[in-house]
Amino acid sequence: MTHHDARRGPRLATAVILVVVLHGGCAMPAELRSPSGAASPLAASPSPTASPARPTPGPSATSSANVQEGVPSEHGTFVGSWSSDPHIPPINVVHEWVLHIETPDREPVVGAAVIVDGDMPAHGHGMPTRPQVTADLGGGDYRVEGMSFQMGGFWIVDVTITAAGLTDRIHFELEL
Amino acid sequence: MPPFAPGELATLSSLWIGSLPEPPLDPSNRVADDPEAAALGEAIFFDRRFSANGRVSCATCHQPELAFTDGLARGEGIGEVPRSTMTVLGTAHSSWLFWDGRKDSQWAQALGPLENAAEHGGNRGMYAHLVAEHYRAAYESVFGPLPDLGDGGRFPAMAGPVSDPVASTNWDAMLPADRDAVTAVYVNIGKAIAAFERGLMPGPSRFDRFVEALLAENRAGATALTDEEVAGLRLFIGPAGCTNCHSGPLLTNQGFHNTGVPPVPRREPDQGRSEGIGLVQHDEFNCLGRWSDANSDDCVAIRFLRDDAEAFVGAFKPPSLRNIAETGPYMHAGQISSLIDVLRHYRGAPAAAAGHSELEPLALTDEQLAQLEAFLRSLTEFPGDP
Repeated sequence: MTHHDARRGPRLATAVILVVVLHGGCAMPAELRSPSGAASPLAASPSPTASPARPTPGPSATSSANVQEGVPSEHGTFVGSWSSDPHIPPINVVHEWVLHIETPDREPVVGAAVIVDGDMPAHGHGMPTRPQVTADLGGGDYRVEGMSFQMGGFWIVDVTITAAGLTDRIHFELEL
Repeated sequence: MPPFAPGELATLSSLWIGSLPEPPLDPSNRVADDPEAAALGEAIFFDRRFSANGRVSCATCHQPELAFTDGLARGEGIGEVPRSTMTVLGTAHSSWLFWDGRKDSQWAQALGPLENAAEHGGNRGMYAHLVAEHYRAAYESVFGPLPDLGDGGRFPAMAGPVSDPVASTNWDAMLPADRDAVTAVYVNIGKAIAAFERGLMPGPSRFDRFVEALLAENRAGATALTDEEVAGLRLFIGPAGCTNCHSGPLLTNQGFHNTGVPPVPRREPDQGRSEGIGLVQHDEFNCLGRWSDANSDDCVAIRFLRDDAEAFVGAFKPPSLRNIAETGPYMHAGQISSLIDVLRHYRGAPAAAAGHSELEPLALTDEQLAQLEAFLRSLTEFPGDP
């Protein structure tokens, strides 16, 4: 019967802004700070057209309890989105996610090394499982198996991405 | 009674026994759903010959009339076990068995006590001979022919990888193929017991009757709980935070949590899950091992096992709260005798002797603790209830 107060965690609506404020001053490679449209070293191939389903990253990014899209990494190297199967992450059931990773100028990042972990800061524990990326699905999509959240409340899912020699981390924040 | 909010009703529905699905398939046990295997397993479960002194069966500690527990602080077989006996009810839904999750299936769990010196105190060679002598037909009907154990030189009466020096020496002297033949019988004993245990589920309680009536908007039925019990229920799903760990229809999230329970006096703190991780990874009977019937892809729990042991120091599995009033003493080693003292522990949230407690103190009055206790007592199932 642990005491739990989810309100101590940042709310989802402020999540993206918080990341920008905390990390906006950090050093980042010059080419990644350039305006979108510049060629990115991370893009595997030119993207034919940006998918209308993927919103542009930044403060306009959307988030809710079951989908979170267009979240920039700490240093702005990548932009990530996740979806869950089932659509709403279930409590205490091992399930799968698909991560979509892009550059800030919306080129899909393929062939990346991706590590996924979760944390429940109010309780001082992580996920009961160690999820693994089991497939690079192409087009910047990665299948993650072994996702599990053992209780409702505020969770952070950390995704560490290494591609083209650059490593950066995205924090997804969930209220389950 | 003030109405429950929609969110509270959803929580109550999730705790209701009617929300308990069929147990997930156990691909590691090909006879998990075989009624003949279950009948064989049931007979062995209650058979005291399966012990070093002929007086200990699975049911010695897992007594049906005590919700498959024993009423003791710590289990007592041949000797005393360091931890409290957990119930068998509902364990078909558990990815991890035992307080520290050192087993990953019901059949692997069942094999642990049989070769533990403090529990049944026997060895797999002895058990294979017992099956050949007393259960040959039933065994062979389910699993096929038993090996010929007649050559006492190749198949000693006592042999197994156990602490007993005679059995251990005999085991080491056996041919690898003969050891495998004996282990195969031993594994099948576990799988038959698991087939029996798979059908053991908790029954409905007054709490379930209450929720069922609420969900059906049956005002008369919603009197199944007293005002005090309902007050306790509101605390349970609300400010007391109990459902963080005691969630779902079995009232456990099946995870591992450090709640700062003090060690047994004059004993070192129990490291709990931090040691269970390595034990299950190296268990010859885990889902990935050669005695499992599963494809490795099906071993979801151990494939995605969280193996950073330091994060789980002093963490234990939250037990089901169903029948909790009948299954004291409480906590992993029976450290706390009464439900009210368990609730005082959660209110006080003392620091952990090993690792870090996840608890924070609760601002609850004595009256509220009494309400919570009253609610917990409503989780006892009705004997013979349909």
